[in-house]
Amino acid sequence: MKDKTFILKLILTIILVVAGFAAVYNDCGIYNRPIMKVNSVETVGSLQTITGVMKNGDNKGSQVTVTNKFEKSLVYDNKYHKGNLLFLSEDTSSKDVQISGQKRDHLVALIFLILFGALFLVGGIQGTYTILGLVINVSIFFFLLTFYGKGTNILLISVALSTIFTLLVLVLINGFNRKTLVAAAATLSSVVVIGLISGAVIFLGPDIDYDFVEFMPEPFTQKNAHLMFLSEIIIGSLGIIMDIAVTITATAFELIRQDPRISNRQLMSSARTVSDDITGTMINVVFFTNIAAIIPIFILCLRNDFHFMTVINNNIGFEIVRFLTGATSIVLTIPITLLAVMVFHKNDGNSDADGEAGPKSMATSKGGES
Amino acid sequence: MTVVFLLIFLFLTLLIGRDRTAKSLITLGFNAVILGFTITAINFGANPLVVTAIACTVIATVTLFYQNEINIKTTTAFGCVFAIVLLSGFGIYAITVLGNLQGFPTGQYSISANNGYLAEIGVNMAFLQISVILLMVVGAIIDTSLAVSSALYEVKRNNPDLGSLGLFKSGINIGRDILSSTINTLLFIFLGEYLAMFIQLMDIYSFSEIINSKEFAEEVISIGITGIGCVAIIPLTAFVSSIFYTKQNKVSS
Repeated sequence: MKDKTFILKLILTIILVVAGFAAVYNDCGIYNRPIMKVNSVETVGSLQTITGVMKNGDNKGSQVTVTNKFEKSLVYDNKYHKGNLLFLSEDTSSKDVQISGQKRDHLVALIFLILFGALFLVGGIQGTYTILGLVINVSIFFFLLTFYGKGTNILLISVALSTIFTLLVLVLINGFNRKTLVAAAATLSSVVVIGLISGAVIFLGPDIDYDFVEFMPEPFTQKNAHLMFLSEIIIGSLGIIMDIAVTITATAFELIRQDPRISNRQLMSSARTVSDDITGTMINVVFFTNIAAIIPIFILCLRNDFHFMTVINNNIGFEIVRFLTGATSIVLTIPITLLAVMVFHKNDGNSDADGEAGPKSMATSKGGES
Repeated sequence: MTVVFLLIFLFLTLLIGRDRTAKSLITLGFNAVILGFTITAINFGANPLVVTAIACTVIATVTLFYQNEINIKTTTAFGCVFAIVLLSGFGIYAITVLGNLQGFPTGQYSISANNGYLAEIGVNMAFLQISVILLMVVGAIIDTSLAVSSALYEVKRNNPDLGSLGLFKSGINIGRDILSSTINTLLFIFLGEYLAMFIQLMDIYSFSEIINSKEFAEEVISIGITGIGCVAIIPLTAFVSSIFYTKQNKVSS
């Protein structure tokens, strides 16, 4: 019976993913810029002659031919293939039509449809909440970023974002209860501590050369760039901190529930064993997600005869620092969360520590509908 | 600056962590060295895809078999990680090549041919981008896989009569607990890493230009694929474990 429901869900998900992808692939009509679909590509050396059909605009359906030059390494260039959709500079079939870009929205859509589908199929109700959390968080993120254009301090935006994200994600994971409150307090305190430490190093240390940082909004002063970098660190650490804070509060609450008179020392010892397990796990994830992205720029610099150390100092030092602060926040969150749990435990003292928070915490940590 | 942050990290880790944390520091060091070797080998002209395949295997070997030990739990995890990397490899290759998700956008950025970064470097940038995504996937899925396979081992030990279907379902439940925190961790690392990029893109582009732009699509698709890997590894590991552990039990009894 249950398996039949799953197969139904699977078929439904696949249909939705395919339909969603097809819809975005064929959404050329909503664009003002002229788009062509590539039907054949003839590549001679580093020159491509591309023939295709217009997909929108007044000349929809008419044939176009464009050319594309590319360097083999594709550092800045693109090599087009049959089936690609390309933005064109003008809506005519004259000789001087240029390719102004490639349509990639359907690829982005495809990846996220698959991700959401997988989360829904594997994650069940929790997966659905995760999707909901992702969508809401990203929307809030971009909404608050618009305030930067209106002159609001970026650090202020990041602090606001972090607070909203923390409350939202924790309530979605745990529901609204005392455990969530403790986890939120622990998360926010840890964010403040990691922010203060990083801020101290960034502001009090020697000047940092931001000239090689891609995408730093120009023109920037040293102070503005510092604030931007600090904001990146804070938001980047947030997920890690929340993860650790949730795991440790869940463990600690479970221990308190089993033995309301557990001593702080016992609590600390057990929680540290658990945290020992997560630390190794998390450090690897943080390392590769932050550091793998340096490979292309690293190779580009080395191949252009930049010295190894110059590359590290100028181009990729920031990625390394982001990893290091992320990793530091892993270890830092452990004692801070324990402290938060202890303060809560002490205040609650001999009363009903296993009141409503207890059974609920059990249920949520075991995975809801299992 | 980097050195100060490194010292703070090492100091706090050794202060707060215990033996296992120290061991993960060594694994981390190994991984950094492997990454260094990968970059050096590619720089000397080795095929990026071959080098990355080797690097992924070595990383999985070190993380699973050194940090833990060789047993049925780690072997199962290794097999599953390998399968996911291999399978996702084809998809990553297709989407990177078809979508031109490699290299650097031309525009008002500091990386350009005018600033001394020549366009022809003898290394295919598309291959490098595939390497990046593969390494991100490997780094993110190894531990989820091990978490599921070890937890299922314990479940089987405590309930020897549990069939493979029951074991599989229990594996999915264990995976669900890890899932949402992994996805959130990835999301925030991603938002933090590209904060400045988002601000700049929002400043100069419209929404439709952003989602079609190379710089945005490149990063968002990389992190999206990593997320898919993190989800896909759970049922795969649960499935393989449920079959292996039930079989092993029959043989030994």
